[in-house]
Amino acid sequence: MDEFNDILNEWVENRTSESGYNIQQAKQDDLTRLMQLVVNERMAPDVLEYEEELLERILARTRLQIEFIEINSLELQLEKDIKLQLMIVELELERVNYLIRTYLRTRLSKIDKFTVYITKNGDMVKRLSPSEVSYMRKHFEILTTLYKKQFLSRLPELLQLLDDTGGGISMIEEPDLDKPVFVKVVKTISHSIDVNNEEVELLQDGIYVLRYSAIRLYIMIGDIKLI
Amino acid sequence: MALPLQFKTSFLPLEINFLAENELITILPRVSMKSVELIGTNLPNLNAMRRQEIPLWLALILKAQDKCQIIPPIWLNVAYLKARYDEELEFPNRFSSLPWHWLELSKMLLTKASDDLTDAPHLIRSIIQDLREVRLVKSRKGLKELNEAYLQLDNLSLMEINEIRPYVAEVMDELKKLSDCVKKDDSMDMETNDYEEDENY
Repeated sequence: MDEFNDILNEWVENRTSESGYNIQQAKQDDLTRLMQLVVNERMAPDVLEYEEELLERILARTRLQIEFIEINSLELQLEKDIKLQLMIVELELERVNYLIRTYLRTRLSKIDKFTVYITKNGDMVKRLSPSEVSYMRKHFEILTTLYKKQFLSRLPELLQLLDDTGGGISMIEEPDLDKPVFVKVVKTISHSIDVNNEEVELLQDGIYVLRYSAIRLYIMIGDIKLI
Repeated sequence: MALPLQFKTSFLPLEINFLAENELITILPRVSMKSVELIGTNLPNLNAMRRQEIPLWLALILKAQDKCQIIPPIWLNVAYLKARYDEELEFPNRFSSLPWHWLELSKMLLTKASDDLTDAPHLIRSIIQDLREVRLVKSRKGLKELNEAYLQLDNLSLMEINEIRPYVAEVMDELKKLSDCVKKDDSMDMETNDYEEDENY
């Protein structure tokens, strides 16, 4: 009888979730999206758009899980069942945390590298989250102060700049947008793409190596993903 | 500093394994279990002997606790893999179609759930090794085709791509620089030619 009730309950659960907003599916989509963001960020030469809403949603869920762990670890008499549940919840939390950490660290490493370029480029600043912007500003300030104190102040004034572009060589490090990247096509691109005067057709599920600049737009739309 | 250098050019095999662990797999629970709310996906109510699809990492925990049996994916048996192997030999110019994470998944299932597989593990291991080698030879031969514009690698799996990534990316980058230089020279030649013609005129 118990089992029958279980099946019945499940059926009711499924029905209600199907009719309304399917939370289960939304959760899964969010996680898949986060994994793709990590991969995109790792493989793209420039800093990509920060997906604040997605991160907020996932962070809110991680907080709920932490609460769950805290409440359930307090009880002294642990049932066997709750122990396994706790272990699963903890492990998943670690996995998600790892993804978020990798995402943020990858972004920070690019922000450090391209600080001057990003600062001089309003569109690039817009791609960062507010905390990333304040990190970038403070970090750069500390760095320039250090440089000045250590050696720049002793150089002739002309040579003190950190963003000198004269003399044929720019001091500003810019992302190399022509870097070859590995991509997988999610949706066939209706017209062929011009790569070095060669027409390339991008078919669904095809795997290509091309210049990042040639397919950058399609990555933003999501028709192509980096791998 | 935020990200060590070895993380920048490609993925570590461990990271690819991590991605593969999120693939779904079918299990046959031995015991019933209440559902668990998770961040990414919920673990549904498990009923003994009723099949359920869950992420692999979760399946492996349950398996380690002896709470479920893993139903191996349809491609993880000698007959299927042998057919792909024959295909590899028959068409030397393309790769046969295998799952995106076939190497990682088969490795994990062979080490952690070998008793659930339909064929003897050592037979599966050996056909996977053969398949891997023939594909490796092909992808290395394919490196001859490298040019500065683009490269097509259909049906290669993520782990296999990751292996050749640093080399391919580097070579294409250098080739591109060379061809850009040639182009620049050409256009500069044309300019000087124009100039000379002007003078002659």
